Amino acid sequence: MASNAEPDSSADRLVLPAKLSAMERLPPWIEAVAKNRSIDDRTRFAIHLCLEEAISNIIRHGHVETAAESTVTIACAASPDGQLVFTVEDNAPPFNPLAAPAMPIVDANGEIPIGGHGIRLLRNFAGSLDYEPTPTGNRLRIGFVIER
Amino acid sequence: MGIATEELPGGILRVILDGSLDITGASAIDLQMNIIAGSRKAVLVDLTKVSFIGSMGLRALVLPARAIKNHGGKMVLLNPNENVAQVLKTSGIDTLLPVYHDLELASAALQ
Repeated sequence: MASNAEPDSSADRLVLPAKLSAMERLPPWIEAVAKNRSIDDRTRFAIHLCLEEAISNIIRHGHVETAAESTVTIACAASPDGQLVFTVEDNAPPFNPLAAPAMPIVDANGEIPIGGHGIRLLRNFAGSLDYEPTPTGNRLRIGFVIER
Repeated sequence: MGIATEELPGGILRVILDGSLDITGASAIDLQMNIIAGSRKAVLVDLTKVSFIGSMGLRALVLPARAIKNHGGKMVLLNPNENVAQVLKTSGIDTLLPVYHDLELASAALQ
């Protein structure tokens, strides 16, 4: 389980309006975090992938797209067990993405499903995943082992 | 996200994508990919310059691939980098949407 570490600085925290159009702010923030912490390209790719899947899932399926005051907060911090942990918090209705079944790779017609790949990607590219509901929404911790 | 096209011998259209196929990038190519899918039967999508792909990027490839298949055509992928290839493999897309690392082999698969 990922630890509940606090962000090291304000640069380690990003608050996004819960709208898909706001997601263009995510890649440059990840780029800055990766540069500050000398994270290798492979891990940076995994961080980008997992955060995009987790946050877009919240915005698209968390029923918060139309709520003007809704936000998604992402904070990163090093944990004692050597992981870099990203904590994603929202104020959407309770939903545990880790309990959602991954779509089959091939559907009943032998076709690749158009959607439903996000959960599988999240599970495969994250080092650790931990979900808990909060009094006002959801908290998902996504950890990555950082090579030293 | 950039998208360019090039005619190859044998009626093959090479679609060269350039950039990040994240949510923003995927939405930038959706329309043109749909137009291509509706009008071409042999499409080679060159991923050499694609630095990132997420599930919305996968969707931007699967949708046109299905449309092309439905009107008797075929779409293949060329030269994903190691990280992008891992996403294609994890999602299972590489099982039905062939991935090549050689232009001649990819072109031959479309003949």
